[in-house]
Amino acid sequence: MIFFETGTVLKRETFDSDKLLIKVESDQIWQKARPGQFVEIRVNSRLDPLLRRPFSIAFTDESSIWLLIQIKGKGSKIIANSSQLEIMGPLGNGFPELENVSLVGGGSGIAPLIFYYKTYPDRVKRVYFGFKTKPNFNLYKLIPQKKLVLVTEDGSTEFRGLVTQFIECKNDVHLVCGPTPMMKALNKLISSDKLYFSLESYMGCGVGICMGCAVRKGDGNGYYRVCTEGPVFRADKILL
Amino acid sequence: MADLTVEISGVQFRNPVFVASGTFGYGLKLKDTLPVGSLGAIVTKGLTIRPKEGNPPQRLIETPCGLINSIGLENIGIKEFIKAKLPELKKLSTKIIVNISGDSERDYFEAVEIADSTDGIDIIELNVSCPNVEKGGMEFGRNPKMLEKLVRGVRERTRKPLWVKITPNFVDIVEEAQAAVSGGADAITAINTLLGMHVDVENKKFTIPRKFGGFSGPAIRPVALYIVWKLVQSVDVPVVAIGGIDSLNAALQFFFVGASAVQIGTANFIDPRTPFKIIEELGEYLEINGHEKISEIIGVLN
Ligand SMILES: Cc1cc2nc3c(=O)[nH]c(=O)nc-3n(C[C@H](O)[C@H](O)[C@H](O)COP(=O)(O)OP(=O)(O)OC[C@H]3O[C@@H](n4cnc5c(N)ncnc54)[C@H](O)[C@@H]3O)c2cc1C
Ligand SMILES: Cc1cc2nc3c(=O)[nH]c(=O)nc-3n(C[C@H](O)[C@H](O)[C@H](O)COP(=O)(O)O)c2cc1C
Ligand code: FES
Repeated sequence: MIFFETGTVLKRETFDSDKLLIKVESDQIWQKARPGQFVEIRVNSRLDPLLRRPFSIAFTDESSIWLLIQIKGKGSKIIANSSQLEIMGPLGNGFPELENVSLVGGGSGIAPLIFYYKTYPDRVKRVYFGFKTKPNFNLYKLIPQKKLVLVTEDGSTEFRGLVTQFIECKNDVHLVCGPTPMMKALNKLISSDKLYFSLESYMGCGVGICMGCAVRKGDGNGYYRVCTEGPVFRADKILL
Repeated sequence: MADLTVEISGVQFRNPVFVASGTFGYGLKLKDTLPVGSLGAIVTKGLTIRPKEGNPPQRLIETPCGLINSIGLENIGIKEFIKAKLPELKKLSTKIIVNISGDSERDYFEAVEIADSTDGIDIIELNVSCPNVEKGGMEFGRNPKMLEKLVRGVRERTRKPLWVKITPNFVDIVEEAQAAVSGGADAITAINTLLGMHVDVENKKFTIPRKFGGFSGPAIRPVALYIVWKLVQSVDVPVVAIGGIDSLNAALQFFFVGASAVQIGTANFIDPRTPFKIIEELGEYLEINGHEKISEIIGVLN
């Protein structure tokens, strides 16, 4: 079941120079959403930009959902500044519910991993988040310092470099969401049956009816739809 | 309640609002979310005799009020469709139209023979206008003589109502429609996508690997409306309209110029509730304006 909701934006918090966290009122989606699922947001009621934009659910509160929006182009900019949003969701399959996992996220890709942590704090060993520079937002409010390894390219946090340099237990299952180069690097580091990627692709409908969001299957034969067969895939099931 | 039923090529539809091929999957994806049985008809994704994996991504790019797609007819093949999807579809109280594509006459004939002998398929819609495959349908849309021969061959192989879906990419569309009708088409569906292109300036490359794709959405509506009007004037069979229909107002424009039914395409991606809203609002519109039947507004302008 997919819900169509119009929600008031209740809160807007700066995350860093090009991202913000927004809290949107929700009637049903917040109750049904699983970590790794996403929503499709109508940019405005005009026809340009035409398509909805997909965003992961960053976490939920009583009667609301939180989204981490990175301003990329005109769609995300309008969405970030809207006081009301037309939302369709929850969409896609979430992350598998596994014990003893580590989470690896880069940039806006941390969103679905925050949700995983907040849903299953006891199942998560370590959380590795990578950014260019230290976010203004205090992530330790969401994930305790002893579990969170905050890596920055410019060294504005304790760990300087790329997240992949700091992974400790290569034999654990890792749930990942972030830029493609990060996923490719992890593919070399960790056995592919222990890696789950949450993918992004250009989406038309978000609900499996356009065949637009294709990703190559791991065996090279045909494609999966990211929106309905994903967005989370075990690394050996797909070709990046 | 006003009477929304229409009859086209001997088939009775509960209302004249359908979902267009390739824009509603195989019709079942949203059955838990939306009352799909209340649609006038479901047109399936383009089916071929053998499964097709489709084109490499990026397959879509948005343009002002429009969309370019390069799906490449990804589909499970007509046999798998009949096995895995049709039994469930048959339970719905809507009509099922299979959209068939092929690389050669033989491909079309084989697929049509299978469709013809299958219960639960109400209509065959031939797609001779897909821009996204190497050989494919578009070859037939390019050449009225070839098209007439193809349609005649198909006609010999089926007693089911046969619709031919065309688009104005190469030849005069009236000539194309007339060729299809001479070959034995019971109705014309128009339009399929227009050819379109997008360039990624930042990376100096074509956004879509196959360079060009099919252009659809509200941006093409005036082109579609003109063509539907023109076809209504020039062919003797019903015309089913497609092209950028996203609202009651847009649907009414097509009914007024003579469309027997409308298909909703790209608008399903923006909001999959669109066809259901149009059905409801069409009923209200007729009541408010004192019409008892949808037929009273079809073709009032010519
Ligand atoms: C499953 C999924 C989850 C996502 N989660 C988040 C998230 O939590 N936070 C976040 O900031 N971003 C997320 N994104 C990315 C986000 O959807 C894009 O950044 C956004 O659509 C850009 O729109 P725009 O109009 O601002 O950019 P545009 O100027 O239109 O384009 C910039 C880039 O955004 C991408 N894009 C544009 N339109 C679409 C579309 N319809 N579908 C997919 N990608 C598109 C294209 O790759 C394009 O190159 C997610 C994407 C997917 C597929
Ligand atoms: C993503 C996508 C896939 C499509 N696939 C098919 C197809 O398989 N067969 C077909 O006949 N038309 C196909 N079409 C064309 C539509 O059915 C329709 O004719 C066209 O998009 C114009 O209508 P619209 O502007 O309402 O979308 C496709 C269109 C889109 C956008
Ligand atoms: S976005 Fe349409 S099928 Fe995935």
